[in-house]
Amino acid sequence: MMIFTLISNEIKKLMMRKKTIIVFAAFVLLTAAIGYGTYRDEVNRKQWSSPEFRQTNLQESIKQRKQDLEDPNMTAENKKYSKEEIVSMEQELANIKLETSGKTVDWKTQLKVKMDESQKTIDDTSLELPTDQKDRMKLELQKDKYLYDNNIKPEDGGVLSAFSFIQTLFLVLGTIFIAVGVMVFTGDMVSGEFTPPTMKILLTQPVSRAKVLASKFIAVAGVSTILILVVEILSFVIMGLIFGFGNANYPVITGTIYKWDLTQSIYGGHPLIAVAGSSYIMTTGNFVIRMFLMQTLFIITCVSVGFMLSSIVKSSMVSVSLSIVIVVALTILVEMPALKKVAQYMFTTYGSVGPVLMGEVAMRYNNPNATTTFGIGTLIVTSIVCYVIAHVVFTKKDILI
Amino acid sequence: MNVLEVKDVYKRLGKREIIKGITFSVKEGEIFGFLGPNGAGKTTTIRMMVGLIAANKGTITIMGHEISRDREKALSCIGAVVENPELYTYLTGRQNLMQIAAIRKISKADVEEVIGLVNLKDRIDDKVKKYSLGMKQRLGLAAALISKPKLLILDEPTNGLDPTGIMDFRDIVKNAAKELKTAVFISSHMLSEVQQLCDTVAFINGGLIKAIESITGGDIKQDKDTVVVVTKDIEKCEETLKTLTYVHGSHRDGESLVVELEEDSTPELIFSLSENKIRVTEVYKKYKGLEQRYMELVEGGMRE
Repeated sequence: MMIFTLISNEIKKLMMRKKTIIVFAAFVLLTAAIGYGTYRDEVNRKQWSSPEFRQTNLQESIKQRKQDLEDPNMTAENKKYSKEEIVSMEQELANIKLETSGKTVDWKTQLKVKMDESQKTIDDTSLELPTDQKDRMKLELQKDKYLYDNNIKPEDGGVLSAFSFIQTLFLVLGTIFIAVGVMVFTGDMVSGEFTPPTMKILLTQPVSRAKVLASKFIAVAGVSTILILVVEILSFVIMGLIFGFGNANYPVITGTIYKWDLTQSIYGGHPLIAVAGSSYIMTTGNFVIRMFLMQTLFIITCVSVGFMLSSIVKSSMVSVSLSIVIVVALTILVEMPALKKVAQYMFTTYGSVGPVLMGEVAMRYNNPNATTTFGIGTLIVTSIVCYVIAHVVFTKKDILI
Repeated sequence: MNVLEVKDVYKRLGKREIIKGITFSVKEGEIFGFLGPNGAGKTTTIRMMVGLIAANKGTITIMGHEISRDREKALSCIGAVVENPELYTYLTGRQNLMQIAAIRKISKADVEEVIGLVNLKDRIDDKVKKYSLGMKQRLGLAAALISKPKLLILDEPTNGLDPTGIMDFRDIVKNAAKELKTAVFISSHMLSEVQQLCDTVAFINGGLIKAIESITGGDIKQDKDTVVVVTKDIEKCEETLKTLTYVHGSHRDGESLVVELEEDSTPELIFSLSENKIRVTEVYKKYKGLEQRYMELVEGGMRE
């Protein structure tokens, strides 16, 4: 098949370009930096959450509260609240002391206590909790039950593992790095053959222009996706070998859909509330696989956008800079309140795949339309539209080089 | 059989009409020169022949395949170097050729053969960015010849070649035409190149073909010569010239006279001048055949 020959030619060219090595090296360095950052955070967190540290901290707080109580100006209500706090802190202090004394606290018993408390709160109709908050609590309870039933120790605050690292990595890369990196890589895929005009020789071979364009797209989309995935998977394995892989069965709450609730915003709350029953629980392993798939879709969309620009604009300098400017502009501009309304139509909104899958993008942009499904739709439509434009322009235009 | 047929082709780029209706054909084994000054429309014509741009009107047919309809079939018969041969500078010469060989399904042995033919064996595994202009030209020629095309299209092919390179190039092209019966289309603004290589020459200027003539014995057939006469009796000489039937006209150029006369009548001219006791210091041909024709057709007649 001619198309495979052309794709293989394009891949050979891509691999011989200096730019490929530079972009790849930059990506490796970035991933390593994020890995190191995650490790430093973990060291700090461990220090802060050490039993000794917590113990002195709690003791300080209790002392402070007790001093406050002696203040005669304090209202009765506040006093009652402070007393309750002191009781709970003293309980926690006792727990820590038990922990440090060597007699380990059975996490399962603790979890059971927490679950019972949650159940009580949910069942207590006198509290008049808002439905979305109740929904959230139910979900948390469900998660705890899952942990309890599957005998998984809760990881409150997160423990550094390959699974927690890969989620952080996706989050950081997704903000803008993947989009910009892919644009740099793709932005001269077509225009680069106009300056210098090597395209002349390629287009005077007996193959259709449509095939030439398709082979270029498949090659650049394939190579960029594979290079990114390989680095990510390698970093996952390396982090796993150093800090442990973590539990692939750990539950994740995902798929939340939000809706407007303006009654909340009057009291200064977030105007979006979760739609009851939209969230569900998934294992971390499953979630990470979905993140990889979602990211692949995002990469392909970025490739399409960069590819279109590189097919329309003749100068590779212009097409690369233009595509970077577009990514940065879209990412920054949708943060403006007036433009958050249209955030769901921008492909750049869906770069951080974790929040996209969890549904948190809607919260971030204050836009309930930015759901996971809408995101997937936007990415697919953007890719197709961009490729069609590139195809029409490239197959019709006069090559005056 | 006609390998290439260009029929009544027009091309407009933006507001300017670049090609204003050209028609010509090239036969099997023929070396066809396309001669014209810079900006005459040579490269535009070639771009249309290889399908880089589409003609607004008219047809271009290669081995019976019309380029606008049967693009791939037409291109499979063509090997072309359009303007400077721009190959991938980050690949080696061989990698560049292998890219084309893969598309055209050409064996490694054939690739080796063409590398030998253009004399690049020693440097073929170097990156193209390290090549000199002449080496790039030869690699471009190899890329065009690799498929043993029925039609070889070369645009200003000797740019950057040294004298040895030009001679080698001429041999390669002549060989291809003779042995493979390849039709060769060469665009050039260099008269000597066309004169030494081509069987036929078309003069193009301002997007129009002014004339198509065949070259025999290294020159085209001529009906006019231009000579310069340097004389001490310039006025007397001018009067005499007016009486001679084979002289078409003359004008002064400083201390000398530029005379247009019938082909091969220079001996008679000298004879008549001395008969009339005109003291001639020097007589020489201003333009030779092809040059003469070029001036007439392209530059609009005699140059001062």
